[in-house]
Amino acid sequence: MPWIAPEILLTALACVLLLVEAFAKPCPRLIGFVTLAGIFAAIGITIATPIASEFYVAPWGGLYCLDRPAQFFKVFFLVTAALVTWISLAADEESLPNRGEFFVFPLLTAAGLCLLASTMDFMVLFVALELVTISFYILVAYQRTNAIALEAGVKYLILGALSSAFLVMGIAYTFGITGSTQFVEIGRAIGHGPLPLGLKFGLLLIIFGLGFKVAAVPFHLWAPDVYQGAPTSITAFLSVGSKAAGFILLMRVLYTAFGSAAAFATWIPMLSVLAALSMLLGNLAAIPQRNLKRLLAYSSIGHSGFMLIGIIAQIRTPGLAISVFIYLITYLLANLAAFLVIAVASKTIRGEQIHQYAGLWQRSPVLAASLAIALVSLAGIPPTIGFIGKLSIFGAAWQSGLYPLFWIGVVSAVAGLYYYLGVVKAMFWSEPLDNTPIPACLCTKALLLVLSGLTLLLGFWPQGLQHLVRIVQS
Amino acid sequence: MEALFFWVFAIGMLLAGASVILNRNPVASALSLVVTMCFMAALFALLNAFFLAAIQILVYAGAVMVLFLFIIMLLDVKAEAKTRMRWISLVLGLVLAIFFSYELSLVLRDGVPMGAVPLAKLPPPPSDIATIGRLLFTKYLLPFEVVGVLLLVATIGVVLLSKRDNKPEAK
Repeated sequence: MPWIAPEILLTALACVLLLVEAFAKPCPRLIGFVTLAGIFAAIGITIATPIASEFYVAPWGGLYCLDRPAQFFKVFFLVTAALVTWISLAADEESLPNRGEFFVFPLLTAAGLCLLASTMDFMVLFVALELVTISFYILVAYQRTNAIALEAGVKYLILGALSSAFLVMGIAYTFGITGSTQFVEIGRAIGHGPLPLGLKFGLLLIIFGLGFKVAAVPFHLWAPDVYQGAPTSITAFLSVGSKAAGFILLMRVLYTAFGSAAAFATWIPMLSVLAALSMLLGNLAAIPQRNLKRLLAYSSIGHSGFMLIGIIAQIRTPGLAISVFIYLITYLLANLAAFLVIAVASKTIRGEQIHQYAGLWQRSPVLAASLAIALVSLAGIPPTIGFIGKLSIFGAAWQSGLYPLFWIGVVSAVAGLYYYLGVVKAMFWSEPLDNTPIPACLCTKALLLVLSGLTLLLGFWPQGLQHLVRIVQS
Repeated sequence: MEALFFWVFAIGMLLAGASVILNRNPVASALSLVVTMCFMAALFALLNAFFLAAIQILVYAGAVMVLFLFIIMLLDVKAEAKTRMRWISLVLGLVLAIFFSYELSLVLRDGVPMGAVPLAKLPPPPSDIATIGRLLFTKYLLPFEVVGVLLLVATIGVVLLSKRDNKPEAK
């Protein structure tokens, strides 16, 4: 079964590493490097696996598919996992208990994420989503001697369980009415007729559950506290991996299972409200934040809103879902670079308050420049890649006639400039609290250069990005 | 006769369920939940789903609830019994409960599910354990295996989060 090879590889490697860690007690960093190698192998396998066009993998007809979007998201999740492992290695806090296992758990999370990218059935969806969520519960609460981390863990556990309950209820309604858990079968059962009331409620509850995953307002309440309390590498994983998982699931469920005109009339208004609220609240609530991780949490809520526009635009003008893919790539590059800088810098400055980043330019030019480029890209200022992402989303909104969402998006993006540039200003034009340089190892600097370089290069040369995404679409 | 049993079990289940949330003593709440599970199992049995009924008793009433009770008894029961119900959680809970029951009543009034087969035309139910087993190991093998990984993750996670960290990291 070559199709699920990446998932099997990651799970098997995780089991082996757990046993090795239990009996041989190797140096935790070594486990981190093996993890990294395993993820790279999985990326290779995923790219090498041929895509059989619109097929369902043999023995489990209709449960699992490997189409272009699935492959794109698998590579996306694996790249995220690799960078997250790198951030863990760069941060490598001595205070963290059981550091060996800390490197192994993201492997299992990545396996769950890869499975999510391919799921075509609510059963697989739920089981894989729980695999991802439960490993995140553990990772978020990892620094359990720290009160903030513990609060984050408990909050994520309780709200996560609640959202899973909503999701299951929605799936139960959908199954009860249509008699199937497979997306394609559900779509067939709905046909072109009106949506029965039970399915409308089911759809509502499913959107509740997935809205929690992408941290869209009003299901965002967990995000700021959890992002702040989790170890920095895990915050990065949550903000990129978990969010992207929510989007691939939304696309699969909404386009395949609820893809009839009657269903559009039900979910487009819901999603539009979520998008508008997320963009406004995410960007406005970020302004007063003084903690960098909290600020990025609110900014990630805002980014969810922008991407939801792309999901809606696809319905009005087919082919525009491409903007979500482009936006996700820009979001990955900028967000992971920002969290890498935070992870490295907080080893020296012991905190994530913005005023502690004052004068970062004098203390470490590479870190300051990378963080600045990442934030400028998140704000969507040219010539960074973030501008291309915002442009494609706003273009999609305009082309498909979503004018209210377009204007709300523009206003929110402008409001967003203020807090992103506030951090940049603190780093470059404020006096540092103390002048000790911040050390960073050569590999981390090289990686930061690559990430920042890609952010700028693809901003100048967006054809490369479009070319890549067009391959995905074909 | 069947209707009589249904009403006895259903009303019993509702009463036990209400007692779960109204009792301030966690041990009494947990025991009420066991009773709720038993009534639910009886309802499954009335529907000829004997395997589900047995599993309900074995897994939920037996294993899960006993674990619950163990953990509750490790906690401070007396302090928990003294806490008052906060009005905000009461209001939110009531709103959710009313929303879901209203929703359910609307859906049930809305009519039959799509593509539903009338009861009389259904073939006699096969021996359900064999059917479930066959489905689990053929068509639903993938989610079944993933559940195994999920349990592994949960087990390791519990150990990691609750283990006392007394050994210094081996270098």
